[in-house]
Amino acid sequence: MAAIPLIPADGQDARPACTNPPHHVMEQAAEWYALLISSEAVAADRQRWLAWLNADPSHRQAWTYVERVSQRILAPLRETPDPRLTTDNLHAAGQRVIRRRRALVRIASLAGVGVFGWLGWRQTPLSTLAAAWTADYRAATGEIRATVLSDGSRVWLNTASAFNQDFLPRLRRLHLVTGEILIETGTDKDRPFVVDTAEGRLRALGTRFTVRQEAGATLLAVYQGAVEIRTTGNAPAVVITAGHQARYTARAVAPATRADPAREAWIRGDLLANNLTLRELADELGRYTLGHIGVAPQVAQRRVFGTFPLRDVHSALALLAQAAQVKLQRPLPWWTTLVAADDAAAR
Amino acid sequence: MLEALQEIGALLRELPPKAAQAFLMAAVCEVPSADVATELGISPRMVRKYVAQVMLRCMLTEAGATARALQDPTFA
Repeated sequence: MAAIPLIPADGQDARPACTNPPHHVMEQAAEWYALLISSEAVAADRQRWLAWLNADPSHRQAWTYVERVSQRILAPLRETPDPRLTTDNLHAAGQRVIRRRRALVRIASLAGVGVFGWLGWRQTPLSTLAAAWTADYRAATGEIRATVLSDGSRVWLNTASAFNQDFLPRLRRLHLVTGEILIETGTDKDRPFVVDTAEGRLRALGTRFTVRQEAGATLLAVYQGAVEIRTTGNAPAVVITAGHQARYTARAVAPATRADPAREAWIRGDLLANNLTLRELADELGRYTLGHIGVAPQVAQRRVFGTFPLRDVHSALALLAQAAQVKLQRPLPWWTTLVAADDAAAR
Repeated sequence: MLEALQEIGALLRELPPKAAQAFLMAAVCEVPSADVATELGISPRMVRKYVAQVMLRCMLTEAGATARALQDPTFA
């Protein structure tokens, strides 16, 4: 189970819990949890929850217990090869619904607070979040999931991602709502496979590619076969072939560049840094955690090489500190800043 | 993993069966609460109540709360 910066396990918590929050605050936290994981939760509930979280330090402290239960007890259960079997053994739980649900195979989970990271959702437009919460398939912040669609296509969801599936008699369509997916299309000559993003439609002419929804643009990287881009603004169609990637907006497709094979490593839970700057690497790691990762300007341009575990951002940061010869400052449990090694003592 | 199983197993045995079931389905198997409600023949509101109750119990265990807190009368 990966560590989450929100809950340091190594005693670096700036505010050791000498006393527990009052019982009624613990109750409130549990009620928020129940509401937020339920399918009835709406965007306004997240806003109210955040307001509650920030209203009093004891609220945040109570919430850390929710997270700890989620990480330490619930996440390991979810990660068992078959949680249904596990929970059935624990208790004769209802089977039909769960079996249906198991169509979505979870390969890994950073679990944490599930679908509602407070920093994560604050930075995302509410409309997108609302769509993501009701999407057919989704992965929470810190999660990497794999799923198999009815046509045999395999889809991996990267952290904080969601997509809808719409399979028609003559068309297999996915709509990427937010985040990033890697697709290996199943063969079906009679039904083209397309992926829609805010900026346009991708038509799979081959088998393996990633699609990443960014703010105002989509990044496509093709690893096998080819993919055709048709933008919503009717720019001329462009075919991107294996080994290449291209970013497009509604109006234009940027020239293709070499696809970085490292971009594929996330499905195995690895972040490959091959000459990334510390800033780029921190931004990438930041996508997998609900906490904030900052970089001091003095060290932001340092180059980093190595492999970092995406499912354990806490360890990844410790490794990074070694690799880049920086120090970690953690003024708050959910706030990590990378600073020059000689700076840390002075502050 | 084994530790987590034992912990939650012991905890769940002390709970009303439906509360335990609702919690496992909603929080671990991630079954939508509407489906949990249908499956268990209770209202979605009740599902939420059960989830909150079991989560609270887990939190108190996690917090190493006193035996008195664990026997809180509000936990029915």
